[in-house]
Amino acid sequence: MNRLRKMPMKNFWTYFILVLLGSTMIVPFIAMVSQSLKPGSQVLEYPFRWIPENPSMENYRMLFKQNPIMRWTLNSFIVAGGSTILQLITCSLAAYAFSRTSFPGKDILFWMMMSMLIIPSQTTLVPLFLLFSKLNLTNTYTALLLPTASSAFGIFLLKQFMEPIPKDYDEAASLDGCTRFQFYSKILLPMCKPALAVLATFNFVTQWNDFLYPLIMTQTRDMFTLQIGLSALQASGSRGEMGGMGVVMAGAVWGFIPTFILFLLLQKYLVEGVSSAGIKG
Amino acid sequence: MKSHGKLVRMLRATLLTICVLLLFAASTGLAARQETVTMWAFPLCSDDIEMYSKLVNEFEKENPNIKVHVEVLPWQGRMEKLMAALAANQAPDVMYLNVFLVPKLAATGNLAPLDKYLPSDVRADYFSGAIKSCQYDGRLYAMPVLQSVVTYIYNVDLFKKAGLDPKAPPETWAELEEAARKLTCDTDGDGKIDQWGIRFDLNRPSPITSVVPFVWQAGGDLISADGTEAIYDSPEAVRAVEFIKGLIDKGYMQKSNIQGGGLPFTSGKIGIDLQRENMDVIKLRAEGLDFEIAAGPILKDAKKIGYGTVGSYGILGKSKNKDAAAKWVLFLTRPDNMAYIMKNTGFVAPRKSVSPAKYVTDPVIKQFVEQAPNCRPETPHLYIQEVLSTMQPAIENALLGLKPVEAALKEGTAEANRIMRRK
Repeated sequence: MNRLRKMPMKNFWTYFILVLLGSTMIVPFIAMVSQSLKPGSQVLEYPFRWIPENPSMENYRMLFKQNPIMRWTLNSFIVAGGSTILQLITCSLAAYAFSRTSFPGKDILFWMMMSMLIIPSQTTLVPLFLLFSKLNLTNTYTALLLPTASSAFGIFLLKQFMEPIPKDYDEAASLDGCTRFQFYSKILLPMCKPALAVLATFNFVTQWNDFLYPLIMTQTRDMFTLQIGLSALQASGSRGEMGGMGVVMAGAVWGFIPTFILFLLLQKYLVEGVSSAGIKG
Repeated sequence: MKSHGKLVRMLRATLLTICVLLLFAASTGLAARQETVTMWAFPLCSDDIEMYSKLVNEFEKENPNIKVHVEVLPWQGRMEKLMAALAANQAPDVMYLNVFLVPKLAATGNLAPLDKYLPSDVRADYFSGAIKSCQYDGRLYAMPVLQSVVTYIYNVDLFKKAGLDPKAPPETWAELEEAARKLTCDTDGDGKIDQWGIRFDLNRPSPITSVVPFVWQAGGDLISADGTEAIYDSPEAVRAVEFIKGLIDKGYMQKSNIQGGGLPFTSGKIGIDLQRENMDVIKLRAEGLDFEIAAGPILKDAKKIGYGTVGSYGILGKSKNKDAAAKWVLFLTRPDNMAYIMKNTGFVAPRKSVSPAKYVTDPVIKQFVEQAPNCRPETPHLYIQEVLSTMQPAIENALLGLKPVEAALKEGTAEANRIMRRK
């Protein structure tokens, strides 16, 4: 209370607004968890009850019993995790080449790559499907992973982070007998942890939540990712069946957990990455 | 001698090659007799996989040389998936279709006509609205498998309190308005209305289910008979929208209903909830009702017509197994199998020979099903979705009082006709 009294008014209002905005962000998640713990008859009741009267895990039990949720979750992990690992490798290598080496046509190549950023992903859906169907690779993990194995955004992000690092490090490492790869892997990459964390989080969440591309590329239920599977639940959920919206909410909570855990693990680096972006020299 | 030996060797090689080729042809011929039909279905019930598995097993027993593979896909993104599959020649043989898809796919040659597969007695067994919704340019392109019924539901307890006979619910616009007047009242004596006769949500799920039935009942339509222009600014359509606006202006419903706001029907403060679908009953019961409900008849003004969407199965134009696919589709739409699908999905059978007793136990849903012969979906027109997209803001402007009804509908219709002419 004393600390509150000593707080300057402008700080008080700043925190007040931040708490208010933060609350509006977190309210849907609280509602989602609340709904997932309610029995079917209470999910759509009016007025809305924030704390379930008789919370139970029945919706989660039904979710796992009636759907291959674990298989869908595994597929999502393979796609999101595999894509993230591939991007961390390919984008960091490309960023290293663009930021710390010199070769003919480097600038042209870089801007050609950057121009891909303006192409909406939706325009490449059908051509990619045509390509993979001709290669007989539809409905495979290869088709899901290959298009996302690298990205112009990731290369740009890491290049911008690597460029300000003084070239003295390269020279010193070279004098100490480091090869280029050793310098890249043992010196440069550890210095880029914040940027790598940002790329990993951004890409994992994007691929985890991607719906349209996996929907088009997969053809059998066992290859669905979690988002496709949960989308099919909504139809029966909205009709009040199969436990109704409670099961749908349980699915949404389940789908949210991995990205939440990832964020918790990497938040230190994410904050570092965001805060160091504004500091020069 | 040498040339003779060479000739013999050549003859032997040729004979051997012919034998191998004949053997290969025979084996592929044997394999070709086993046909595979792939189908894309979308969630219609709580366990579509189980529902279709049973049907597939029975079909394959009756047709041992046809294998059926059903994939249940999400509704969302299905158009994109279909377009990509058509472009790559990987479309399924059979697909579940909504009404608006039939003309779009038929016009581009992506649906196979089914007239030759459908016996005339089976065709006559269907409700006319259902069959017409699957036709394009005079030919049948899909087999109706289910339909819905949209009519109003009412609070039986409030009816009794207002002195209305719950066994004789309103059948005409005039009776509806009279019932709404009696049901709208101040129950706690504070001078403010706290019980409303009507709830009407324009966008549940769209004007096609909420407003268009009134247009049809008044004798109007959305698109002209020759399909060349939008006509929802006709005097009949104007009268329909003015009737609904009258209910708002007289205070029989909350104005916020138009955009989905206001008290829900489950609050027990609404007498009549207009434009509900049969499967809404399942949802309402899941939400918890502490009063008795019943379904009213399709309303009548100049005509007695209600809205009911139709779901159908179509055979894709590029299918290499059309005959086998047709057998599967006809199997699914056979009366016994159709009743099984209705029992699982909660929809209504579009065939006269499929008695509601075979698939409905809920008495309120039975009341919906009895209205099915009076229901029809939207006109199967190539640009029906575009027309409806212009209709929604026009009617919203009219009902919210932002523009006079006639002016709002004329503006919307002009825009719809501009779109149709551009295409």
